[in-house]
Amino acid sequence: MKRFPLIAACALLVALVQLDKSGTHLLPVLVGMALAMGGVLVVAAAELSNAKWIVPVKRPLLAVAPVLFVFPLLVKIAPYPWLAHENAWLRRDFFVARDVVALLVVAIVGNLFRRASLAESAAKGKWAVAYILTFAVVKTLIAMDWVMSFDYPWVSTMFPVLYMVECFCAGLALLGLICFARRKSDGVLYDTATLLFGFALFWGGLFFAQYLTIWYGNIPEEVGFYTRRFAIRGGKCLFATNAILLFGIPFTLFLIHRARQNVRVVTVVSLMILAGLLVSQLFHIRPYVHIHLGLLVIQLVIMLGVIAATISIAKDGSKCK
Amino acid sequence: MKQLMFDDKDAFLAKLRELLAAGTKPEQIAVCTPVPVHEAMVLLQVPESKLRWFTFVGAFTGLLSGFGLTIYTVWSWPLITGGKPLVSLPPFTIIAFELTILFGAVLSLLGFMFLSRLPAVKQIVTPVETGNQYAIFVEEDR
Repeated sequence: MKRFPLIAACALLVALVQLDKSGTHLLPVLVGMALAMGGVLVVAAAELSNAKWIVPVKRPLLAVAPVLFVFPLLVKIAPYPWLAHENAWLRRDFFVARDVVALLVVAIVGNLFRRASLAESAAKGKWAVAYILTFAVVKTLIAMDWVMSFDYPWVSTMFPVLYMVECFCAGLALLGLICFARRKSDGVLYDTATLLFGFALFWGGLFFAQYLTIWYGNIPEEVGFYTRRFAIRGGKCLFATNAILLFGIPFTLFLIHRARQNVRVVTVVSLMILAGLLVSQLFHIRPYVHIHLGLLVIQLVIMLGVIAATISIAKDGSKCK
Repeated sequence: MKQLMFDDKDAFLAKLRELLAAGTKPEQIAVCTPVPVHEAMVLLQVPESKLRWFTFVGAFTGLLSGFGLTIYTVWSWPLITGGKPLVSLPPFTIIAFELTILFGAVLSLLGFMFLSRLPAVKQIVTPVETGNQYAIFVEEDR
């Protein structure tokens, strides 16, 4: 019975996304996808490196895996400029078909990994490898199709990598929030904060590398990516906020050893990283999508609510056992 | 000196808590672990290492030197490249970053050598080789 409201919320989200023609859905769906894929990704990476610190939080993190099955239903064409002149790759029917299949594959592999990992099966390592590889391919496809295609024919091989790293950061931020719910300041909290510190630095490096290559090359077909976004009111502010939330704050705060041991600091930084993810997507899609604030808030609340409720149900289930 | 060896981190931490609860003073206990165990550091009230200040001073000096070097050189020999401003922070950041890492690493090494009183190796060598086990050394009451 506990799952009925959850399924109803997912159905409502799917209906809202499919009825939305503005493209606003991209923001909540991409943030939710980063959390769901990232949560499973963190466990897969930890399993592959034989990390023992993940054991106490493995169950709540892997609880997000079933949410992956919602995303194939959330594939929706946004108002892409290429719709006016479709080509062999960027075509409505092919776009929807390949993304639905890709998201379904990552959901299936993610849930098979979840099952193997929770059962401590000998095959968990193989499923971890399969999930990481599938994730890399699918996330690349989603970043290129859903976001990068707004700027077609602009292409960047660094762009999908940025999305992959954001996914890992989202998974670690989710872990930070789970640490807050556990109310324990143990090794898990410290390791989560240390990994957040490392991945904030990694994200910062990629973000800067993407900007620097375009700035330095100064090629008209490339600089358009930034000039279009900076030309909009508040565009530069979004760019700076994105860098501060995903790099500046986690990097500076987690330089301090004691901050990594403080559950409140880790929780606040985790929330800032989630806000940073939203700002990052907003910066990317804003020149092309007219955001409906009300719709965005409703979709975001449902998306995050579904993820939180799924983790909460898994936590209650583990207590019963 | 009593020596206790454990294969498991949890058993090691449980024993450490037991020893402290039994009245053994933290200064009588020395531990040797294959990986950093922060819970043990908290239990034994290990003061934070001064090494981080060496790293910080080195890194900060490197950062300032990186920006200082690049800005000074373009001002002393103004040469416009690719239509960019003379003082262009994006490419200068790379030099500043590299010098931050270099100076930070060099000063960390020097700081480590200074704090561990090298070349006197006694400060950094444990009484016995513990491999991948968690070890507790307890100094007996005299």
